[in-house]
Amino acid sequence: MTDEQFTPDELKVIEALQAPPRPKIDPARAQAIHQQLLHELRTSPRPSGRRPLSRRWIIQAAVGLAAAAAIIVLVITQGVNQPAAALGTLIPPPPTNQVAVLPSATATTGTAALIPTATPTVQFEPSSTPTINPTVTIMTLTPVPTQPEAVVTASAAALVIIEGQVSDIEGDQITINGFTIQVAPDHPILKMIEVGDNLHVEGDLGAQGLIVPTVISNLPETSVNTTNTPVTVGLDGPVDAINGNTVTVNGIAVQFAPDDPVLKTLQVGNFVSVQGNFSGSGTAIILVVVNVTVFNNITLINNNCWFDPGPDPAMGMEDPAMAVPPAMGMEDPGMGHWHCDGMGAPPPPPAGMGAPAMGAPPPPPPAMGMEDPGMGMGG
Amino acid sequence: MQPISDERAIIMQARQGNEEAISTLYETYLQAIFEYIRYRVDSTVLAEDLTAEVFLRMVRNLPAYEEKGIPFRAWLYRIAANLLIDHYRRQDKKRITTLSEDYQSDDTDPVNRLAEQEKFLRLRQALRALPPDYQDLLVLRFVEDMPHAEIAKIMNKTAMALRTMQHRALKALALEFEKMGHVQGFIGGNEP
Repeated sequence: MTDEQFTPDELKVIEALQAPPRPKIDPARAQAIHQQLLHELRTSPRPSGRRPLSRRWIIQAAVGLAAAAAIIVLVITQGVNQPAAALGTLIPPPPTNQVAVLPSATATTGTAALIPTATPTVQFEPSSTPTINPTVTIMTLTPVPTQPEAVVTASAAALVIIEGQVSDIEGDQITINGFTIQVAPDHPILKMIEVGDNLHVEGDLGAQGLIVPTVISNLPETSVNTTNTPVTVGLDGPVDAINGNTVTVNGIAVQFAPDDPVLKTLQVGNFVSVQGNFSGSGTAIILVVVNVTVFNNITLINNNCWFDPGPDPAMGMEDPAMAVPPAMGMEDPGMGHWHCDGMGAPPPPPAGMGAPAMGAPPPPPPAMGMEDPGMGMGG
Repeated sequence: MQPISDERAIIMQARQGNEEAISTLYETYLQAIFEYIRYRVDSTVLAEDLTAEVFLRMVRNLPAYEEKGIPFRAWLYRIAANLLIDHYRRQDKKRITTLSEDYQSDDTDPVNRLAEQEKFLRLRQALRALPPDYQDLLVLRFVEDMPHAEIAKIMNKTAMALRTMQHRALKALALEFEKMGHVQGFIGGNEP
């Protein structure tokens, strides 16, 4: 600080900052935290004295596996196109410029990186017709050293898969496990996630070590999906606007099928739980709906707690005393349910609840006294 | 607070799970991290909880820590800064209107303790009126006495940007003091 120049006014402020006694942590609490740390250290699994896997190794391993898979696919394809006379002979590996999956950064690999430990092999049965029966025999590939063994340089991006907790969000870059994922500036996922959320990302390793995603999923593996269509994104929240078959949910544009019956009864203010997939590119990314659940009897109090009155309020069963969200852990388990899951939206219905298939109207509210205690009992 | 000597060796041992090394790191940085967080949140209990979480994350992520451009202390502060960001996002940046009265002090004289508490709470009240970045910068620079280069790694900004921000932050804090009547006519340079 000695080489800095401050005005007299600034010096006074600095003095005020430095003047008060510093807050001190309670010694008993400090000791308790210390014990907590030691407990964490003793009970959590640790690496056996080895350095943990570095990002470079993970990328190289991912590249190697992807390259091996691409080579196998390429060889099988070439085998289909080979004239009959060529069958039964060893098929050389493809020329370098046809290898589609290579690391974008220079990486040091040996042949072990190109051929995985469990060597996949492909062999073509000699036949007068160029057909392949990949279930019958396989052939071992020996890589021809058309490039230096020690170094592999790439001309295209490599596939990587990252799964973990978001540790940082800076602009359009998301950090997970030390990897930086670069999304489009207006990607809806940026409005949906917070630091600490879990994400599954698949993408290509682009320039400067940034990962350009092809798939971003915020759904856990245990999420309920009642259709055969895969879903990768879950979004819960109130309907803000309806514009044809494009609905804005919690500020995110969601696209229904134009003839989706839900659109006939959906209203602004309804609470919905949507599952679907991102589609589009650049700034035109939209969430295409696969599943949707509409909740009608919802009272939204704030972003952290909302009250589901359960039976039809017209029956006189609502509890006006519950207009204020209770303290955490004190949610009324009786008439109606408070949901304080911190996400401002109901969790998806548990398995067995019969979440409506796409386009089906939401189920009627349960009969009085017969409400399902499992319906969104979040804490 | 300065980094400990042989810190690199201690960190390496801590990465291997050495309890003594981890305890050394904890004891070295505990007060500084708690201080930094306490200036940014409204209650001591919350500051303690967040401090605990910082060190838990330190223990969990130490095996993966590599000093590539970011020294250990800055890495630790960065964990704390991210936790604060996360905390305020969850709180939707709600402003709590009542100040906590659970300020901890070593002074046994109740009158002095009250005076210290009041001083700290007024400073805290003025600070929290500022944007989070300003708060971070002022606390790290003038309370924790960190150089701009290190703060830059914590806040993910350039040192040059921080120098510019610093002048604005000091001026903003001075205005807050003046509003509170803490220092009368401060901006004009008049003594109270």
